[in-house]
Amino acid sequence: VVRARRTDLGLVTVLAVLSALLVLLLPSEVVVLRGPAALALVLALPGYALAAAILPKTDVRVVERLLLSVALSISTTIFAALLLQVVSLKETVGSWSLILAAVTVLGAAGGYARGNVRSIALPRLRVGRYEAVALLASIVVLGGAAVLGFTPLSAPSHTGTTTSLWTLPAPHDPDAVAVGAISDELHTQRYTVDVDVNGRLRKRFAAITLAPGATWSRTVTVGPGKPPIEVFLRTTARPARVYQYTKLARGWPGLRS
Amino acid sequence: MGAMGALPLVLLSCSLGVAAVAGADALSRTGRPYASVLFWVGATLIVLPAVLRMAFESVGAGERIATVIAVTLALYSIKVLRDPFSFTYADEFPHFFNLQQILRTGHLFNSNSILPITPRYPGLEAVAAALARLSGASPFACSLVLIGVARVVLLVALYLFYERVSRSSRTAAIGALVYTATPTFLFWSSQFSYDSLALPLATTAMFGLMRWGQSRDVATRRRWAALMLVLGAAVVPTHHITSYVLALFVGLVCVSHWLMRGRRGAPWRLALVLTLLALAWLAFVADGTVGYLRPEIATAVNKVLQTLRGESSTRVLFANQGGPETTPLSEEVVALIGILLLGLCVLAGTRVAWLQRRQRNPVLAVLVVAALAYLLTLPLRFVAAAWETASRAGEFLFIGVGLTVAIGLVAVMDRRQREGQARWRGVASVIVALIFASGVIAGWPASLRLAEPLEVTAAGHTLKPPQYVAAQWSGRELGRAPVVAAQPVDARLFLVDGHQTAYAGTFPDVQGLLNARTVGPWRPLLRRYRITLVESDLRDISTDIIAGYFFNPTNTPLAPAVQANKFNLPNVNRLYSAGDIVIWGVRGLW
Repeated sequence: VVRARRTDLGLVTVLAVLSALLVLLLPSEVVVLRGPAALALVLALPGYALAAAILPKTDVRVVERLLLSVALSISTTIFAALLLQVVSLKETVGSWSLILAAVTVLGAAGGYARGNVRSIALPRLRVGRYEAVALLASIVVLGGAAVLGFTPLSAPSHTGTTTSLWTLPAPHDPDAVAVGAISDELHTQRYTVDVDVNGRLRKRFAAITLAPGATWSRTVTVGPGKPPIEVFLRTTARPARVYQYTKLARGWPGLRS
Repeated sequence: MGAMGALPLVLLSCSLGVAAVAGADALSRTGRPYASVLFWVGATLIVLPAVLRMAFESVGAGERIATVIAVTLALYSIKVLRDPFSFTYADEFPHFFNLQQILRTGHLFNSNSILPITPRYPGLEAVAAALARLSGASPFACSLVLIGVARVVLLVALYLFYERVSRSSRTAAIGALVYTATPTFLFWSSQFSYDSLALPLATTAMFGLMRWGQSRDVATRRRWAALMLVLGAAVVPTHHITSYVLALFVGLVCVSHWLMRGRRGAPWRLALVLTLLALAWLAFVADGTVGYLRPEIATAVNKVLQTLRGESSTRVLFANQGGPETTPLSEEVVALIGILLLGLCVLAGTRVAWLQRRQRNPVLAVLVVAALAYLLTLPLRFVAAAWETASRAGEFLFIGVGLTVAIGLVAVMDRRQREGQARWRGVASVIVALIFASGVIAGWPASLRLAEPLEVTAAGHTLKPPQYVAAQWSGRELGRAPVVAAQPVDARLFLVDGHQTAYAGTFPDVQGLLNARTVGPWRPLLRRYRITLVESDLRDISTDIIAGYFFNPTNTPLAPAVQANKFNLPNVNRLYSAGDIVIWGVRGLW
């Protein structure tokens, strides 16, 4: 067993079991640990083991073996998904980890039985001073590029923005409607919302202040019989102009409370 | 040079190139000038030094492979940096929805109202779902990682394939880098779409075929055949056309082998099994594929014939069909020079292959024919309906172009070097860089290569464009039940952000419904497809599935207001209003 552990297939088997345990036992929020385990199970280990079981013992370069490991792992995952579908099993963490770890262990056993096993030897790589500086600089530059690339920035000038208004039957009260607004503006604005029932003002919400991205909603009792509802959104800067308008037709056709 | 050769310098150059592109994207997202210049500086920093280094004879295979991987990842990062927050390519939405559905239901083969054929080829989404389920990371992040790995697999497989065909690591590395000049490579093939995974698997299978052909004993041959079939079988449930092209490629190798070396020894059985697998999937799982592909191909063929007969006008080159984007004159010139150089290099490579015909290399013959066929598809770019078909075929034919161009360039460099003209390495590198640039220019509209404002900050908050806000509101407030009819851009957002069934386009004829002046004639359609919501979006950009996902300027062109106002009826609810975007409850019209 000790000797097997020092071989590539021994290591692959241990890693597969360890990865399966990690994804099974750790909560999904621990992506830092589950992520590498998932990558190994889906994109590397089953293929490496299968390659050992299928490929000839000699005349396969390391880069060829690594390429085939990834390609065969992806293929294994595709076939595993189809198999789960055929036997009507759900694709869960349990089914995925079990099937991928099992393929890895079986593949490694096949490779071991064929004698297609190698002792682990880490490649020796001498990195000179200038090479190290260049590599370090690459990492720093890439990090900067990633931060810049994944950070939301301010909008260009003249970007068209708006505030949306919505009206729906209230979820738990058949005699009420829910009214809401979502600001998609670049600046904080103040609004007025008027709710008309049967053409007459039932409720006015004045001085609603919404920052960019902020939302606002209220429930308004409108009485029985699903009367026609009209809702008007105006900005306090231009009170004469209706900015947004929504309505529920008489009987609120097609809508359920 | 140290033990790593020039790799650290190439990596640094690639990193600087990525940083330049990130800067260009930042300028573009905030509406500032000179973004395009910075983009080209970045692209040049990624490609040119790498090709120059690969042109040297003395470089080891390890450095060559590492360089190819570095360039691949750097080029992929251009696409990732363009869309860092969510997918915005038209086909990415239905595929991402398929992934969401697999994660929600735990099963494959769910429905998809935008591209109904895609759930029948679930290979890509199955792998992404496994990654997302096991890692706990977001499906978007897992999809990005998966496509990145697929890109690396593609280029490493191509390198190893070319190396086996040409028996030269130098030719292989240059060929792999030339392949990045495929017009679809930088953006289209990097998207979260089924062909982005299928092609890398197919290319690895092609490498397996080479190893099968070069095996010396029967047992080894069987092993490589088994491996090739496993990979080929994985392509079948991943992408229709790629599985057919793989079977066709193996079939052509058989024919080529028969013509050059006789019938014995050709991979007849492999071709037969791959063909049967693809046909079986077509017959028993994805029988809608024929109906999906037939109109595209039939329209393309008809338009070509009409253009040849002079009955149809030719397409304007370098223009986005259906969109306002144009290509600057300087880029048009570079693109034409690049295509010219590509043609010359293909002819040079063809000549070298012809001179080596006594070696009777059947795979090389097929690849050279593919390269020549690529040149023949170039005139199709003048035909509007055939342009897309020609462009998509290029993805496969360019596998031949990559090697043929590399063979031609290496032959020229070797000849000049014998004459003492070492500077031809530099000339060859510039030629490859120009070919790459022409591919980029031909592949994607100039104004859409860089990031557009998708998530913007204002007063410490992050905002998304109004079409996203509408779709997310619909999903949050109304749940999964509604069936929505909307413009092509908006329908994709209802699908992915609203998790609702959404229809767009002409089948069913949602476009007709939205463009009509009255609703009356369209009530049967609403009833038949059980459409409960219609979103009217008057912004013209909402019909542009390439450019319509971002914040737009205030003066964006609008469709006539009657297209929205026709829904202002007594039995229709106006549920949501955001200026030019209105969501109507139309259940009362059934």
